[in-house]
Amino acid sequence: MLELRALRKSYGGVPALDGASLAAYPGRILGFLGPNGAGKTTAMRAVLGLVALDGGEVAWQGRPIGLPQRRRFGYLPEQRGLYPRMRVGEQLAWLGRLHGMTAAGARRAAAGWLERLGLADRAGARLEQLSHGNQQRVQLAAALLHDPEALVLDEPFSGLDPVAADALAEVIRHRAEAGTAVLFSSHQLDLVQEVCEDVAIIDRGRVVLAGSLDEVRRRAPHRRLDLALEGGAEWFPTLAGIELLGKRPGWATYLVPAGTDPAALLADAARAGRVTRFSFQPPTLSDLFREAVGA
Amino acid sequence: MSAGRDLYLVGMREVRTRLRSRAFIISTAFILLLMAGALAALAFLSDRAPSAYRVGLVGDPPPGLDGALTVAAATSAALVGTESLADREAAEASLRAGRIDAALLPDGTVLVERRGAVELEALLTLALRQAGFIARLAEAGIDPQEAAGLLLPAGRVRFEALDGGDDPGGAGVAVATAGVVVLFVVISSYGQWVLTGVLEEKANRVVELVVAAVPVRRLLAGKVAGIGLLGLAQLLLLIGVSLGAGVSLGLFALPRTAPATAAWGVAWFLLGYAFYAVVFAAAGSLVSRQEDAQAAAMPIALGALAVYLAVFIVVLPAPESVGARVLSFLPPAAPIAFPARIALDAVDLWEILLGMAVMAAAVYGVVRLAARVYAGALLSGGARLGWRQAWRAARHMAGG
Repeated sequence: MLELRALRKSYGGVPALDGASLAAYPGRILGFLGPNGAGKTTAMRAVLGLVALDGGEVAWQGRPIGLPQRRRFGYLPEQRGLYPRMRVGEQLAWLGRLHGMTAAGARRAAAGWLERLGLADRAGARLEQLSHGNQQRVQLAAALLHDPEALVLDEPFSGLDPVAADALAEVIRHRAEAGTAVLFSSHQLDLVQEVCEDVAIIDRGRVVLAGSLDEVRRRAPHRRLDLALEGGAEWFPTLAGIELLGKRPGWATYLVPAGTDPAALLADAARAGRVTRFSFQPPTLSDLFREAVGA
Repeated sequence: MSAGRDLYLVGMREVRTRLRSRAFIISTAFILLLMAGALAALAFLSDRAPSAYRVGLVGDPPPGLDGALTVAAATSAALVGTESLADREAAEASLRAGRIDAALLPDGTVLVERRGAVELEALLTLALRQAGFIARLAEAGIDPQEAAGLLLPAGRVRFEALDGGDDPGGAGVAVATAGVVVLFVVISSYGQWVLTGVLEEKANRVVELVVAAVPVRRLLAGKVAGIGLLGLAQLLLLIGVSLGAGVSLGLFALPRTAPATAAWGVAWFLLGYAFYAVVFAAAGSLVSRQEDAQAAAMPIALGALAVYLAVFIVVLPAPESVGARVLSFLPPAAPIAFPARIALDAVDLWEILLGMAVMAAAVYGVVRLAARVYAGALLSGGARLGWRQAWRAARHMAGG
């Protein structure tokens, strides 16, 4: 288990991490969410020892983490970058060796990943000769090459087209199935909801919501109600605590206290007109996110 | 995993990528060219320019003259070529046209355009006497080839002066001058390579990935060592090529102190390079755009240049002066001041060793200092940083 324990870090008096804690489990994918500037990148860099923390610690399997463990991690930095003039295959093999692989093992792994990413014929090319998309693939291979025990991916989906995003999601799932603890940050909430088992939301340097996706959705104090009445008739709920979230042409979304009986809701709505659409569900990740960060 | 393996991996990457780079090949060629210039200066300064003479031979030359000429030429480090001429008229015409420097007539007379070419006259006198000697030996039954071989000098004649001076100065000054130039160029150019290497890694962000797997200090040390290895190889190549070329072309007779000077020069290169390279590395880590490389290197490059000029002005003319002594104990100046004084034979062994101890301490200090700035700056990731900000940023990284 990868644990961030009460991490604190401030830059020039401005806190970037203010006691942030979370845990990522082997074999599971944790989506790490938060508004811009909330501390996601700082937290992830701290895992790789790239931040001189003011307080707190990062632990792996219960023990404070050191260089030998970090070398067993894979990292995709927010600011992508490799050696532009170094040959692709050679570069990957070199990075593999930095992570403790043997020369032969690193060469094999580099060739294998280039094959898998469809770049086998570009192994001898310099990185700068590759298209932007292919450079991104090489960067991903650099994170995965050494079969990491934990994978820290900072915005891995940013800038990918839907097909590439699906392929990446597949690779990530595959790694998790192999027992890797995956931690990745993203702004694409629907994608996170689709890929992740666990979620952590950070706001102003603190983790404000964390747990398995199902659990946090179930635990939420609200449910989401989508309702449409025939002819666009308007519903004025008589039950307490119901809040109009948004109106679309023909239907509306409400936040309803979690304990509300759906049957009572339906009955109440039916008094306003014939119900043509009624969906009573746990909140989406977007709802939870907005609520958690107070947007 | 061991620090040694990290250093090896980081260092070898530097060596491999740079050996392939055009910049390295061009800079090596450039330095070799510079060396050629220094060699020319050396020949000029040491007043031992190779003399090449053409001697015309009228009629049949005395037997053994060819061998004797070769031996005489080798003795005075000159080159002598011969050509046959039909008669005295042809010889006079060739002399006037400047095609030959002297002509040997059948009666043994040497014809010259005007008297005063001391070296040539001495050389021909020697050759003719030896040719006569060989001829008499031949009459006594000794093979002329063998006789000529016997005349080869057994070794250099050693002169000892009452004033204790060992070298007539020319070659020593030239070696010192060339040494100062080469050391300055190699140390500062390789130092700047370290700077651009550090800056490149930071500018294209790959450092983030590397530092996640390798401690910052090892990255710095491996980089400095890798680039330094190339610098050392280039320096050895330069020394080898220039000494070899100088001696074999007869440009200069190797001063007795040359091998020692070269060995000390290499030792001082290592110290000087280490000193400047880590400072350059720290400066490179403080900026993150290629455009800032010049500005980052400027203060250090200017400092090195000032030191270089000071050595030229103070140490070379008066290597045993107080100023020269003071300069050679200032760490930024020591790596070029000491080799210059060693080449001039103006320093005692104890002084060299003391200087090296002082320098080694200075290198240690500057490595600690620069490594901390480098670590702090790399990990703050931001744009441009001051030395003090970087120093403070690294306060928690002391062990890393």
